[in-house]
Amino acid sequence: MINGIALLVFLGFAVGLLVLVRRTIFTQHRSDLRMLGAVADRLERSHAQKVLRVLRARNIAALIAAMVGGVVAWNLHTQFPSAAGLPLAMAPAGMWVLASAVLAWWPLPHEFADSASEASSVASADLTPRSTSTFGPRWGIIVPAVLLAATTLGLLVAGILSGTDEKGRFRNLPYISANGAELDNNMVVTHIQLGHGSVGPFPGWYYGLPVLGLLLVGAGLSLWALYSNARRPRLRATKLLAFDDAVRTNVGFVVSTGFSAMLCLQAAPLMLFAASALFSSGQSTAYVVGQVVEGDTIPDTVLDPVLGILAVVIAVVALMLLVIGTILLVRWLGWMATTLRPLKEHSTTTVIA
Amino acid sequence: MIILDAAHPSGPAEQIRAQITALIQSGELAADARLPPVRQLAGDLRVAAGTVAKAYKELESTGLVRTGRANGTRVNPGLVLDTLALKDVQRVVTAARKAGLSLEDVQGIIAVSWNA
Repeated sequence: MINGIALLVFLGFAVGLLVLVRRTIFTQHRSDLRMLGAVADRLERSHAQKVLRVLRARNIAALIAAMVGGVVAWNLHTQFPSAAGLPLAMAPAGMWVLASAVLAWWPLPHEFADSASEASSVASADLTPRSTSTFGPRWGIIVPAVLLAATTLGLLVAGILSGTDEKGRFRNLPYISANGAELDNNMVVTHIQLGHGSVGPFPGWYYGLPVLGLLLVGAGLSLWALYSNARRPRLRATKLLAFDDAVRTNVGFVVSTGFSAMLCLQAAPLMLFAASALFSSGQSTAYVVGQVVEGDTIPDTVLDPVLGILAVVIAVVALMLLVIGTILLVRWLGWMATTLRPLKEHSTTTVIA
Repeated sequence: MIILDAAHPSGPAEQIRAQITALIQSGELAADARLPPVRQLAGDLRVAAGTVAKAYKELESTGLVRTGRANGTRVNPGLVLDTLALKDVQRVVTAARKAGLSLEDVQGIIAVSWNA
Protein backbone atom coordinates (compact mmCIF):
# COMPACT_ATOMS: atom_id res chain seq x y z
CA MET A 1 0.00 0.00 0.00
CA ILE A 2 2.73 2.47 1.08
CA ASN A 3 4.91 1.38 -1.85
CA GLY A 4 1.95 1.98 -4.19
CA ILE A 5 1.48 5.52 -2.83
CA ALA A 6 5.22 6.18 -3.20
CA LEU A 7 4.99 4.93 -6.79
CA LEU A 8 2.13 7.34 -7.55
CA VAL A 9 4.04 10.22 -5.90
CA PHE A 10 7.14 9.56 -8.02
CA LEU A 11 5.07 9.20 -11.22
CA GLY A 12 3.29 12.49 -10.45
CA PHE A 13 6.64 14.16 -9.73
CA ALA A 14 8.05 12.87 -13.03
CA VAL A 15 5.07 14.14 -15.06
CA GLY A 16 5.13 17.51 -13.25
CA LEU A 17 8.86 17.82 -13.88
CA LEU A 18 8.44 17.10 -17.59
CA VAL A 19 5.66 19.69 -17.97
CA LEU A 20 7.61 22.30 -16.01
CA VAL A 21 10.80 21.74 -17.96
CA ARG A 22 9.09 21.69 -21.38
CA ARG A 23 7.14 24.88 -20.70
CA THR A 24 9.73 27.00 -18.96
CA ILE A 25 13.32 25.89 -18.67
CA PHE A 26 14.20 25.29 -22.31
CA THR A 27 13.05 28.73 -23.46
CA GLN A 28 15.69 31.21 -22.39
CA HIS A 29 16.56 34.38 -24.28
CA ARG A 30 19.76 36.19 -23.40
CA SER A 31 19.99 39.99 -23.74
CA ASP A 32 23.09 41.33 -25.41
CA LEU A 33 24.82 43.19 -22.57
CA ARG A 34 27.42 44.59 -24.98
CA MET A 35 24.78 46.35 -27.10
CA LEU A 36 22.75 47.65 -24.13
CA GLY A 37 25.84 49.11 -22.47
CA ALA A 38 27.03 50.76 -25.68
CA VAL A 39 24.09 53.15 -26.08
CA ALA A 40 25.31 55.64 -23.45
CA ASP A 41 27.92 58.38 -23.86
CA ARG A 42 31.65 57.83 -23.32
CA LEU A 43 31.79 58.23 -19.51
CA GLU A 44 28.62 56.24 -18.92
CA ARG A 45 29.89 53.55 -21.28
CA SER A 46 33.05 53.31 -19.20
CA HIS A 47 30.86 52.77 -16.12
CA ALA A 48 28.95 50.02 -17.92
CA GLN A 49 32.30 48.51 -18.87
CA LYS A 50 33.36 48.50 -15.19
CA VAL A 51 30.11 46.81 -14.13
CA LEU A 52 30.56 44.21 -16.86
CA ARG A 53 34.18 43.63 -15.78
CA VAL A 54 33.20 43.03 -12.15
CA LEU A 55 30.30 40.79 -13.24
CA ARG A 56 32.69 38.78 -15.42
CA ALA A 57 35.28 38.46 -12.62
CA ARG A 58 32.58 37.44 -10.16
CA ASN A 59 31.16 34.78 -12.48
CA ILE A 60 34.63 33.36 -13.17
CA ALA A 61 35.40 33.34 -9.42
CA ALA A 62 32.12 31.51 -8.73
CA LEU A 63 32.98 28.94 -11.41
CA ILE A 64 36.49 28.46 -9.99
CA ALA A 65 35.09 28.15 -6.44
CA ALA A 66 32.69 25.42 -7.61
CA MET A 67 35.50 23.58 -9.42
CA VAL A 68 37.76 23.82 -6.34
CA GLY A 69 34.90 22.35 -4.29
CA GLY A 70 34.63 19.45 -6.74
CA VAL A 71 38.39 18.78 -6.68
CA VAL A 72 38.47 18.90 -2.85
CA ALA A 73 35.53 16.46 -2.69
CA TRP A 74 37.29 14.08 -5.09
CA ASN A 75 40.56 14.26 -3.08
CA LEU A 76 38.73 13.62 0.20
CA HIS A 77 36.98 10.67 -1.42
CA THR A 78 40.26 9.11 -2.56
CA GLN A 79 42.08 9.81 0.72
CA PHE A 80 39.27 8.55 2.94
CA PRO A 81 37.72 5.54 1.23
CA SER A 82 36.30 4.49 4.60
CA ALA A 83 33.92 7.48 4.36
CA ALA A 84 31.89 5.36 1.92
CA GLY A 85 31.59 8.06 -0.73
CA LEU A 86 30.27 10.77 1.60
CA PRO A 87 32.47 13.56 0.10
CA LEU A 88 31.24 12.70 -3.41
CA ALA A 89 27.63 12.50 -2.25
CA MET A 90 27.97 16.02 -0.80
CA ALA A 91 29.96 17.41 -3.74
CA PRO A 92 27.19 19.10 -5.83
CA ALA A 93 25.69 20.88 -2.79
CA GLY A 94 29.16 21.82 -1.49
CA MET A 95 30.21 23.17 -4.88
CA TRP A 96 27.07 25.33 -5.05
CA VAL A 97 27.59 26.66 -1.50
CA LEU A 98 31.04 27.92 -2.55
CA ALA A 99 29.78 29.38 -5.86
CA SER A 100 26.75 31.06 -4.31
CA ALA A 101 28.90 32.48 -1.49
CA VAL A 102 30.96 34.29 -4.14
CA LEU A 103 27.79 35.54 -5.88
CA ALA A 104 26.27 36.73 -2.60
CA TRP A 105 29.34 38.42 -1.13
CA TRP A 106 30.87 40.09 -4.17
CA PRO A 107 28.86 43.26 -4.83
CA LEU A 108 28.53 44.91 -8.25
CA PRO A 109 29.48 48.60 -8.39
CA HIS A 110 26.76 51.24 -8.74
CA GLU A 111 28.69 54.43 -7.92
CA PHE A 112 31.88 55.57 -9.62
CA ALA A 113 34.60 57.98 -8.48
CA ASP A 114 34.99 59.54 -11.94
CA SER A 115 31.31 60.55 -12.33
CA ALA A 116 30.94 64.09 -13.69
CA SER A 117 29.96 66.48 -10.91
CA GLU A 118 26.87 67.67 -12.79
CA ALA A 119 25.69 64.14 -13.44
CA SER A 120 26.42 63.04 -9.87
CA SER A 121 24.15 65.78 -8.46
CA VAL A 122 21.16 64.29 -10.30
CA ALA A 123 19.74 60.89 -9.47
CA SER A 124 16.70 59.17 -10.87
CA ALA A 125 14.59 56.20 -9.84
CA ASP A 126 11.69 54.33 -11.33
CA LEU A 127 8.83 53.52 -9.00
CA THR A 128 8.62 49.81 -9.75
CA PRO A 129 9.25 47.72 -6.64
CA ARG A 130 12.04 45.18 -7.12
CA SER A 131 12.04 41.84 -5.34
CA THR A 132 14.01 38.59 -5.41
CA SER A 133 11.72 37.27 -8.17
CA THR A 134 11.72 40.41 -10.36
CA PHE A 135 14.84 39.49 -12.35
CA GLY A 136 15.81 36.18 -13.87
CA PRO A 137 13.55 33.43 -15.15
CA ARG A 138 9.84 33.27 -14.32
CA TRP A 139 10.52 29.87 -12.77
CA GLY A 140 13.52 31.27 -10.87
CA ILE A 141 12.00 30.79 -7.42
CA ILE A 142 9.35 28.11 -7.94
CA VAL A 143 11.48 25.40 -9.66
CA PRO A 144 14.35 25.48 -7.14
CA ALA A 145 11.79 25.66 -4.29
CA VAL A 146 9.92 22.59 -5.57
CA LEU A 147 13.18 20.67 -6.18
CA LEU A 148 14.49 21.65 -2.73
CA ALA A 149 11.24 20.62 -1.03
CA ALA A 150 11.14 17.30 -2.92
CA THR A 151 14.81 16.58 -2.12
CA THR A 152 14.32 17.48 1.56
CA LEU A 153 11.22 15.29 1.82
CA GLY A 154 12.95 12.43 0.02
CA LEU A 155 16.01 12.63 2.28
CA LEU A 156 13.85 12.75 5.42
CA VAL A 157 11.80 9.71 4.30
CA ALA A 158 14.99 7.87 3.31
CA GLY A 159 16.52 8.78 6.67
CA ILE A 160 13.53 7.40 8.57
CA LEU A 161 13.62 4.18 6.51
CA SER A 162 17.39 3.76 6.83
CA GLY A 163 19.26 1.38 9.09
CA THR A 164 22.86 1.00 10.22
CA ASP A 165 25.70 -0.75 8.41
CA GLU A 166 28.43 -2.80 10.13
CA LYS A 167 30.04 0.41 11.44
CA GLY A 168 26.79 1.79 12.82
CA ARG A 169 26.33 4.41 10.07
CA PHE A 170 22.80 5.01 8.78
CA ARG A 171 23.51 4.20 5.14
CA ASN A 172 21.66 0.93 4.60
CA LEU A 173 18.07 -0.04 3.84
CA PRO A 174 16.86 -2.75 6.25
CA TYR A 175 14.26 -5.20 4.94
CA ILE A 176 12.46 -8.42 5.78
CA SER A 177 12.27 -11.10 3.12
CA ALA A 178 11.18 -14.71 2.78
CA ASN A 179 14.59 -15.99 1.81
CA GLY A 180 14.79 -19.09 4.02
CA ALA A 181 12.91 -22.39 4.35
CA GLU A 182 12.62 -25.21 6.89
CA LEU A 183 13.04 -28.65 5.33
CA ASP A 184 12.05 -32.05 6.71
CA ASN A 185 14.14 -35.23 6.32
CA ASN A 186 12.81 -35.75 2.81
CA MET A 187 14.02 -32.26 1.76
CA VAL A 188 10.44 -31.02 1.53
CA VAL A 189 9.81 -27.39 2.43
CA THR A 190 7.62 -27.34 5.53
CA HIS A 191 7.85 -23.71 6.56
CA ILE A 192 9.06 -20.50 4.95
CA GLN A 193 11.36 -18.43 7.16
CA LEU A 194 11.39 -14.68 7.24
CA GLY A 195 14.85 -13.21 7.39
CA HIS A 196 16.18 -9.73 8.20
CA GLY A 197 18.71 -8.15 5.91
CA SER A 198 20.02 -4.75 4.87
CA VAL A 199 21.38 -3.40 1.64
CA GLY A 200 23.40 -0.30 0.84
CA PRO A 201 24.41 2.28 -0.09
CA PHE A 202 21.11 3.94 0.70
CA PRO A 203 20.67 7.73 1.23
CA GLY A 204 19.98 7.43 4.98
CA TRP A 205 20.90 9.93 7.69
CA TYR A 206 24.64 9.35 7.08
CA TYR A 207 24.40 10.94 3.63
CA GLY A 208 21.12 12.81 4.13
CA LEU A 209 21.95 15.09 7.06
CA PRO A 210 25.18 16.64 5.66
CA VAL A 211 23.60 17.02 2.22
CA LEU A 212 20.48 18.58 3.73
CA GLY A 213 22.61 21.01 5.75
CA LEU A 214 24.56 22.09 2.67
CA LEU A 215 21.35 22.39 0.60
CA LEU A 216 19.81 24.73 3.18
CA VAL A 217 22.99 26.85 3.34
CA GLY A 218 23.06 26.95 -0.49
CA ALA A 219 19.38 27.95 -0.61
CA GLY A 220 20.00 30.73 1.92
CA LEU A 221 23.00 32.07 0.00
CA SER A 222 21.09 31.91 -3.31
CA LEU A 223 18.20 33.89 -1.82
CA TRP A 224 20.67 36.39 -0.40
CA ALA A 225 22.32 36.76 -3.82
CA LEU A 226 18.89 37.34 -5.46
CA TYR A 227 17.91 39.80 -2.71
CA SER A 228 21.10 41.86 -3.05
CA ASN A 229 20.68 41.75 -6.85
CA ALA A 230 17.24 43.37 -6.49
CA ARG A 231 18.26 45.84 -3.78
CA ARG A 232 21.47 47.09 -5.43
CA PRO A 233 20.91 50.77 -6.33
CA ARG A 234 20.46 51.54 -10.02
CA LEU A 235 23.19 53.15 -12.09
CA ARG A 236 22.78 56.93 -12.25
CA ALA A 237 22.67 57.17 -16.04
CA THR A 238 19.11 56.79 -17.32
CA LYS A 239 20.53 55.64 -20.69
CA LEU A 240 21.94 52.60 -18.87
CA LEU A 241 18.55 51.57 -17.47
CA ALA A 242 18.15 48.69 -19.95
CA PHE A 243 21.78 47.66 -19.36
CA ASP A 244 21.19 47.71 -15.59
CA ASP A 245 18.09 45.53 -16.03
CA ALA A 246 20.03 43.14 -18.28
CA VAL A 247 22.83 42.83 -15.70
CA ARG A 248 20.27 42.05 -12.97
CA THR A 249 18.55 39.54 -15.27
CA ASN A 250 21.90 37.90 -15.96
CA VAL A 251 22.58 37.57 -12.21
CA GLY A 252 19.05 36.22 -11.66
CA PHE A 253 19.52 33.56 -14.36
CA VAL A 254 23.00 32.62 -13.10
CA VAL A 255 21.73 32.12 -9.53
CA SER A 256 18.44 30.36 -10.38
CA THR A 257 19.84 28.17 -13.17
CA GLY A 258 22.94 27.24 -11.15
CA PHE A 259 20.95 26.36 -8.03
CA SER A 260 18.41 24.32 -10.03
CA ALA A 261 21.21 22.46 -11.86
CA MET A 262 22.92 21.68 -8.57
CA LEU A 263 19.65 20.41 -7.03
CA CYS A 264 19.06 18.09 -10.02
CA LEU A 265 22.64 16.80 -9.99
CA GLN A 266 22.50 16.38 -6.19
CA ALA A 267 19.21 14.47 -6.10
CA ALA A 268 19.91 12.18 -9.09
CA PRO A 269 22.76 10.03 -7.66
CA LEU A 270 21.03 9.73 -4.27
CA MET A 271 17.88 8.54 -6.06
CA LEU A 272 19.91 6.01 -8.04
CA PHE A 273 21.33 4.67 -4.71
CA ALA A 274 17.79 4.42 -3.36
CA ALA A 275 16.49 2.70 -6.52
CA SER A 276 19.31 0.16 -6.44
CA ALA A 277 18.75 -0.60 -2.73
CA LEU A 278 14.97 -0.89 -3.20
CA PHE A 279 15.44 -3.25 -6.17
CA SER A 280 17.77 -5.49 -4.15
CA SER A 281 15.48 -5.50 -1.11
CA GLY A 282 12.50 -6.51 -3.26
CA GLN A 283 14.12 -9.78 -4.33
CA SER A 284 13.42 -13.03 -2.46
CA THR A 285 13.87 -16.74 -3.06
CA ALA A 286 10.69 -18.41 -4.26
CA TYR A 287 10.32 -21.32 -1.79
CA VAL A 288 6.87 -22.95 -1.72
CA VAL A 289 5.60 -25.12 1.15
CA GLY A 290 5.58 -28.72 -0.06
CA GLN A 291 8.27 -28.12 -2.65
CA VAL A 292 11.10 -30.67 -2.77
CA VAL A 293 14.52 -29.11 -2.73
CA GLU A 294 16.94 -31.28 -4.64
CA GLY A 295 20.67 -31.18 -3.94
CA ASP A 296 22.22 -27.74 -3.81
CA THR A 297 19.73 -26.21 -6.22
CA ILE A 298 18.17 -23.04 -4.93
CA PRO A 299 14.85 -21.86 -6.37
CA ASP A 300 14.80 -18.78 -8.61
CA THR A 301 14.59 -15.39 -7.02
CA VAL A 302 11.38 -13.43 -7.52
CA LEU A 303 10.94 -9.69 -7.45
CA ASP A 304 8.19 -7.93 -5.52
CA PRO A 305 6.37 -6.29 -8.49
CA VAL A 306 5.47 -3.04 -6.68
CA LEU A 307 8.96 -2.60 -5.24
CA GLY A 308 10.45 -3.47 -8.62
CA ILE A 309 8.32 -0.92 -10.48
CA LEU A 310 8.99 1.67 -7.76
CA ALA A 311 12.74 1.14 -8.10
CA VAL A 312 12.56 1.46 -11.90
CA VAL A 313 10.41 4.63 -11.69
CA ILE A 314 12.84 6.20 -9.18
CA ALA A 315 15.75 5.31 -11.47
CA VAL A 316 13.97 6.82 -14.50
CA VAL A 317 13.19 10.04 -12.55
CA ALA A 318 16.84 10.13 -11.44
CA LEU A 319 18.02 9.84 -15.04
CA MET A 320 15.57 12.60 -16.06
CA LEU A 321 17.02 14.82 -13.31
CA LEU A 322 20.52 13.99 -14.53
CA VAL A 323 19.64 15.09 -18.08
CA ILE A 324 17.81 18.24 -16.89
CA GLY A 325 20.68 19.06 -14.53
CA THR A 326 23.21 18.73 -17.35
CA ILE A 327 21.12 20.97 -19.64
CA LEU A 328 20.78 23.55 -16.86
CA LEU A 329 24.52 23.38 -16.23
CA VAL A 330 25.18 24.17 -19.90
CA ARG A 331 22.67 27.06 -19.70
CA TRP A 332 24.42 28.29 -16.54
CA LEU A 333 27.75 28.36 -18.36
CA GLY A 334 26.03 30.11 -21.29
CA TRP A 335 24.75 32.90 -19.01
CA MET A 336 28.23 33.31 -17.59
CA ALA A 337 29.77 33.36 -21.07
CA THR A 338 27.60 36.34 -22.12
CA THR A 339 29.74 38.56 -19.87
CA LEU A 340 33.03 37.48 -21.41
CA ARG A 341 33.08 39.79 -24.44
CA PRO A 342 33.78 43.54 -24.03
CA LEU A 343 31.24 46.28 -24.79
CA LYS A 344 30.76 47.23 -28.42
CA GLU A 345 32.31 50.59 -29.27
CA HIS A 346 30.41 53.09 -31.38
CA SER A 347 32.31 54.18 -34.46
CA THR A 348 33.33 57.84 -34.15
CA THR A 349 34.86 58.09 -37.58
CA THR A 350 33.05 60.47 -39.89
CA VAL A 351 33.20 60.04 -43.59
CA ILE A 352 34.07 63.17 -45.50
CA ALA A 353 32.71 63.15 -48.98
CA MET B 1 10.38 57.84 -12.96
CA ILE B 2 11.32 60.53 -10.47
CA ILE B 3 14.41 62.72 -10.67
CA LEU B 4 16.21 64.25 -7.71
CA ASP B 5 18.43 67.27 -8.22
CA ALA B 6 20.80 68.16 -5.39
CA ALA B 7 20.95 71.75 -6.70
CA HIS B 8 17.16 72.21 -6.54
CA PRO B 9 16.00 74.75 -3.90
CA SER B 10 13.56 72.23 -2.39
CA GLY B 11 15.00 69.54 -0.17
CA PRO B 12 15.15 65.93 -1.37
CA ALA B 13 12.15 64.79 0.72
CA GLU B 14 10.02 67.61 -0.72
CA GLN B 15 11.13 66.78 -4.28
CA ILE B 16 10.17 63.13 -3.77
CA ARG B 17 6.83 64.06 -2.23
CA ALA B 18 5.97 66.59 -4.96
CA GLN B 19 6.86 64.25 -7.82
CA ILE B 20 4.99 61.26 -6.42
CA THR B 21 1.98 63.53 -5.77
CA ALA B 22 2.10 64.68 -9.41
CA LEU B 23 2.37 61.08 -10.65
CA ILE B 24 -0.65 60.05 -8.56
CA GLN B 25 -2.81 63.05 -9.51
CA SER B 26 -2.00 62.69 -13.21
CA GLY B 27 -2.90 59.00 -13.14
CA GLU B 28 0.64 57.86 -14.01
CA LEU B 29 0.59 55.88 -10.77
CA ALA B 30 -2.58 53.80 -10.81
CA ALA B 31 -4.82 53.22 -7.79
CA ASP B 32 -3.48 50.45 -5.53
CA ALA B 33 -0.10 50.58 -7.30
CA ARG B 34 2.67 49.61 -4.93
CA LEU B 35 5.45 52.09 -4.31
CA PRO B 36 9.02 50.76 -4.00
CA PRO B 37 10.31 49.97 -0.52
CA VAL B 38 11.95 52.89 1.29
CA ARG B 39 15.44 51.34 1.11
CA GLN B 40 15.18 50.65 -2.64
CA LEU B 41 14.10 54.21 -3.48
CA ALA B 42 16.66 55.69 -1.09
CA GLY B 43 19.42 53.61 -2.68
CA ASP B 44 18.43 54.56 -6.23
CA LEU B 45 18.19 58.28 -5.36
CA ARG B 46 21.38 58.23 -3.24
CA VAL B 47 19.63 59.69 -0.18
CA ALA B 48 19.19 58.43 3.37
CA ALA B 49 16.34 56.00 4.01
CA GLY B 50 14.92 58.54 6.50
CA THR B 51 14.48 61.08 3.69
CA VAL B 52 12.27 58.74 1.65
CA ALA B 53 10.45 57.61 4.81
CA LYS B 54 9.68 61.29 5.56
CA ALA B 55 8.30 61.82 2.03
CA TYR B 56 6.15 58.66 2.31
CA LYS B 57 4.86 59.80 5.71
CA GLU B 58 3.81 63.16 4.29
CA LEU B 59 2.07 61.44 1.36
CA GLU B 60 0.27 59.22 3.86
CA SER B 61 -0.78 62.16 6.02
CA THR B 62 -2.36 63.86 2.98
CA GLY B 63 -4.26 60.66 2.15
CA LEU B 64 -2.48 59.96 -1.14
CA VAL B 65 -1.03 56.60 -0.05
CA ARG B 66 -1.63 54.02 2.65
CA THR B 67 0.96 51.87 4.39
CA GLY B 68 0.29 48.33 5.55
CA ARG B 69 2.72 46.10 7.37
CA ALA B 70 2.60 43.32 4.73
CA ASN B 71 1.34 45.26 1.70
CA GLY B 72 3.96 47.99 1.69
CA THR B 73 2.98 51.49 0.57
CA ARG B 74 0.13 51.65 -1.96
CA VAL B 75 -1.61 54.46 -3.84
CA ASN B 76 -5.11 55.26 -2.59
CA PRO B 77 -7.87 55.13 -5.23
CA GLY B 78 -9.90 58.09 -6.53
CA LEU B 79 -7.13 60.71 -6.49
CA VAL B 80 -6.65 61.37 -10.21
CA LEU B 81 -7.38 64.98 -11.07
CA ASP B 82 -9.83 64.68 -13.96
CA THR B 83 -9.83 68.39 -14.77
CA LEU B 84 -9.69 70.23 -18.04
CA ALA B 85 -6.47 71.94 -16.91
CA LEU B 86 -4.68 68.58 -16.56
CA LYS B 87 -5.73 67.56 -20.08
CA ASP B 88 -4.53 70.96 -21.35
CA VAL B 89 -1.17 70.44 -19.65
CA GLN B 90 -0.82 67.01 -21.26
CA ARG B 91 -1.64 68.57 -24.65
CA VAL B 92 0.98 71.29 -24.06
CA VAL B 93 3.61 68.66 -23.18
CA THR B 94 2.84 66.65 -26.32
CA ALA B 95 2.97 69.77 -28.49
CA ALA B 96 6.22 70.97 -26.85
CA ARG B 97 7.89 67.61 -27.44
CA LYS B 98 6.82 67.68 -31.08
CA ALA B 99 8.24 71.20 -31.40
CA GLY B 100 11.56 70.05 -29.89
CA LEU B 101 11.30 72.22 -26.77
CA SER B 102 13.07 71.13 -23.60
CA LEU B 103 11.48 70.86 -20.15
CA GLU B 104 13.34 74.01 -19.07
CA ASP B 105 11.97 75.93 -22.11
CA VAL B 106 8.39 74.92 -21.27
CA GLN B 107 8.85 75.66 -17.57
CA GLY B 108 10.15 79.13 -18.48
CA ILE B 109 7.19 79.83 -20.75
CA ILE B 110 4.72 78.65 -18.09
CA ALA B 111 6.46 80.76 -15.42
CA VAL B 112 6.17 83.88 -17.60
CA SER B 113 2.48 83.18 -18.30
CA TRP B 114 1.84 82.40 -14.63
CA ASN B 115 3.34 85.72 -13.50
CA ALA B 116 1.73 87.80 -16.25
